[in-house]
Amino acid sequence: MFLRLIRQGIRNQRNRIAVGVFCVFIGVTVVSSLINLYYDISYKMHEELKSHGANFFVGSKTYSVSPTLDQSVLDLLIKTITREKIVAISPFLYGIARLDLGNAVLVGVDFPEFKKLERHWPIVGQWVSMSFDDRHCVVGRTLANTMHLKVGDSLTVYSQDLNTHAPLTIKGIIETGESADEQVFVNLPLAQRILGLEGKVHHAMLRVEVTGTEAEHLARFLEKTIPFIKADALKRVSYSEGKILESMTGLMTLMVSTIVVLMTLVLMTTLTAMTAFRRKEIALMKALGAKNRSILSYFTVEIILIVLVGTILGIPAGFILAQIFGKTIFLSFVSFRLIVIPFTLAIMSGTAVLAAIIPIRRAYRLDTALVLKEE
Amino acid sequence: MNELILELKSIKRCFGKITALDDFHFNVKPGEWVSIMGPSGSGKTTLLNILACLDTPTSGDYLLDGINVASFNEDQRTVIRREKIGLVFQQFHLIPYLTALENILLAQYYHSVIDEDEAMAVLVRVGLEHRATHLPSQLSGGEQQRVCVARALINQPAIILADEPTGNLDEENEAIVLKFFKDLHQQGKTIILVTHNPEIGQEGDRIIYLHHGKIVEKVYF
Repeated sequence: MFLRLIRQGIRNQRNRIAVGVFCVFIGVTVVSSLINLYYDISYKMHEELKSHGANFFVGSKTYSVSPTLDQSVLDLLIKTITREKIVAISPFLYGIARLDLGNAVLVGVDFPEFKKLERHWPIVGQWVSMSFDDRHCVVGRTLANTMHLKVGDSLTVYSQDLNTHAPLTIKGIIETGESADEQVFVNLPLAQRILGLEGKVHHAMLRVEVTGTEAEHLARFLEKTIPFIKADALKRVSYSEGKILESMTGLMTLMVSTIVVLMTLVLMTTLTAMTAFRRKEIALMKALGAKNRSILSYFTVEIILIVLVGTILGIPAGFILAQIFGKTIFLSFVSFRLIVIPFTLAIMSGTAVLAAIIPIRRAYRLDTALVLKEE
Repeated sequence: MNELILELKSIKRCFGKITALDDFHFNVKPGEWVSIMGPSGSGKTTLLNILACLDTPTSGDYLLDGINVASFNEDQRTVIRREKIGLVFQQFHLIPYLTALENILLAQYYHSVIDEDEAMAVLVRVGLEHRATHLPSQLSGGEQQRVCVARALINQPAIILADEPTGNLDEENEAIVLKFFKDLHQQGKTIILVTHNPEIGQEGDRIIYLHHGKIVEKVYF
């Protein structure tokens, strides 16, 4: 009987039900498209920003030209931050070395990690791929031009006292527009040997998965945990990234909230109209012995059906709308994010509950005798 | 078994400053047919609403089959109504999208469990078995009222309360519906019927006349 009542009731007021479903459909379409867009664009932006250099600097607390940090600080950092959060970490050791045609700044790095940190740097040739490779180097464009060097050429690096030297082959030439264009990059152990600074580094640069204020908190945490270091979030990258994502979150929250408020009002109006249309029916059911709980169950099932149908139709439509937004605003197609489904359902459930409060209260408070006496 | 199936003691019902029923005493024996008459605004509807447990008195006691229901809350009144009372309305009040049979089943559904055979038997009793699958809009006024009577009977209530049951019917259908009430009365059903029609009122065991919320006259037959 319950199902018969629901089925026939829906048939009897299909126009109003259709308005309710349409309202939910429009709401779900816009809300789910915005949520999808937000998650997808945030992810893509985060991935994109990841390649834009280090966002964290760790050096010695006391300033000194000679390196005062022990190489083991890297292991300590990895242990403290946890490996999962670190996208890349490379030590840096600087010193003046002699080349065949003059002096140059020799930089010791961990090439595989360094490559991940600076992967947007244009390179002619290749990066040195192994961290134990002591036969290859990468040189900056300005230095290469000055010394007429090209990829594949041989280059010997000497210590200042000429007691130590290393014959190298140039594997790549980088062009950064920065001071790196005048430097020679080799793996850290080789640099330490040439510069006579075994086990030492000047600082480390990291790319850590943090945004905005998180980076600041991490820096303070590191300084507290490892007292002899100075940690700094590179605000230019972390802060901008955090700001962009925060702005996007704010904009999306505002838009979703506005739509949810509008949708709640339209849905409330529709449900109120449905209650008004059925007031005689409700009064009769009560007169025949239906408790308020039974009346509530009809409304609940009808509202669930309206929300469910609207949501089922709205989510694919929202995905299509997200593509249109993505392509026109961000010049990129949007991938479907599964999180959209529970998120949208949660928002819609909340909306439906809010929208149903007034109509259900009206049904509860309906004066059965008075309504049945109406002409 | 109680000597009285229904007893109102010092019932008062006020709506703001207006007193619809004042120090009202009334009782009904099992199997009795009482007709209630009076001009508009005399308190007939208020009385019927209280008797049907659709409304509560401002003060006084209402004993229904020995239970004082005057202070019952809405849910308790709903339960006692579906257990003890069958309602027949002037405007029929059938659910427009349910068939004649389904309208009868609805009352059974709220009472206990639905039994289509039983509902069909009641429909046969009011001579509408051939209209079982028809919607109210496909039935005449008289037929709709007969469905309404069948719905009131399905749960075998102790009392039938009818509010102007023939008020919207032509003479022919009025006679048919009236005959059902006579049959029910002969079968021992307690009937309380509100009417403006003295001829219908006289079919009862007694008539009470209301005026300004008080019984001004009682006529026994």
